[in-house]
Amino acid sequence: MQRSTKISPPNSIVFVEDLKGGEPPNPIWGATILATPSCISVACYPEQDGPTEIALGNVPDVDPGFEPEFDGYLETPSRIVVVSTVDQKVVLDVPAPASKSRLRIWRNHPKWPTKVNIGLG
Amino acid sequence: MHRSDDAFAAAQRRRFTRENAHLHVRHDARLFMQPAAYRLWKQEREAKAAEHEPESVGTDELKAMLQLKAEVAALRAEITFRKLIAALKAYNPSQPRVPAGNSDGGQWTNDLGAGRNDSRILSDASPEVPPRPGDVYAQLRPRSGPILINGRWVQPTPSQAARLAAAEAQSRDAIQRVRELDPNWRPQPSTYESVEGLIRAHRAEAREAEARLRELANAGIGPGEFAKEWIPARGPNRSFNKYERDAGLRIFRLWGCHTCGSFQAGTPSGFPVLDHQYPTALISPGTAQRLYPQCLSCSLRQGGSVQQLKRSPVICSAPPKSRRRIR
Repeated sequence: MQRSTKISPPNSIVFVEDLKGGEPPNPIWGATILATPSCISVACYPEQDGPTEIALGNVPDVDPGFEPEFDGYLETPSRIVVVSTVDQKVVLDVPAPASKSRLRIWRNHPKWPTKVNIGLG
Repeated sequence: MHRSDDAFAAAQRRRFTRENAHLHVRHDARLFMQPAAYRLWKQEREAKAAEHEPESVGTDELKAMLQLKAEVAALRAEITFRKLIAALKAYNPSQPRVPAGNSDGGQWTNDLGAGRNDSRILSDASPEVPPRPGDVYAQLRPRSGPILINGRWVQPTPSQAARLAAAEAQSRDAIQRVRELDPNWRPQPSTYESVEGLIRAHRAEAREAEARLRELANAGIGPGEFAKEWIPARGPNRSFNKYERDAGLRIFRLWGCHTCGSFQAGTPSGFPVLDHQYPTALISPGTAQRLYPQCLSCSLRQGGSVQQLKRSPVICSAPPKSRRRIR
């Protein structure tokens, strides 16, 4: 199952977390992907320059074929993974297979990604 | 004109034989007199003056008179001083007054129940509405009564009361400004045993709140230390028109990122991010905002800080000094 959207998120950043929320990572100046066990922040294409296409789904559906930029685990106690913005608007959500899900993130550019793929499992 | 007639001579005779005839003699009369006649006239005049001269005052009498005058002056000064002391004792700034709204409102009263202890005059601040910077409440007036410190009442001096009121107002204002952005923030509790200690505690709280505001500004919450110029935001929406983008670019080229001072926007177009301040996620709808140009890295970091602030009171550290003010 894959869901995707094209948005220009505020502050050019989105958060991948459980539906009930997580502990956002401590922001570090210059870092583009940061993570805590319950929340991952992902930098997108600069909001005033254009939208970012974000895809959320199972790994086979979203894998672009190159090494992921992030590979780790996310706590998903409600078994629903959401992608939200700074103003806490949920833009994407998919069911998670377990209470702790393996999660991989691909971006097509290290600094200005126009495509962000988030794979579960 | 010849004046040799008898009438004139008679008139002159009468004139110079009067009691005050000497007053009719001109001051330079001696120039018109024979020396012998002048000496005679002078002797007569001095003899007449000696007859009218008062008796001379002795030195002892003069001393006694001066002493008497001094005593009278001292008595007058003492009376004035006693009157002043009595007036000062009569005035007590702590004396309660009748509250406004009564027929004799504002008058001094001895009834404590209607005066200082009246809840109606403790403060005019509403407990529901938080105080705003610049507001003046009854509580901000210098305390005139004692203050409860560690279970005992301490009477501050007028100077201490004034300084305490100023420190309280400063502290309250700074804490309020922080809580508008970070409602969970609290200053470190402090202990004190005197009025001076209480003043120091308030000042420490104000400093702590100011430090927190700077910390938030470094994280992109609030105008940063390089914020010099801004443009008004049309609203919280992020669809900027050409004027706003051009104005943002001009300000950015002039002053750099408002948070870190960098002149590198970090975006593919070279345009800086137009940052709403205060952040839309932290303010109530309808609040006026300003747009400040910001670099992409600070914008990303600000996003993380806002998210953290909304969920937990912990916030990130300041941006690295080495990355500041990059041209």
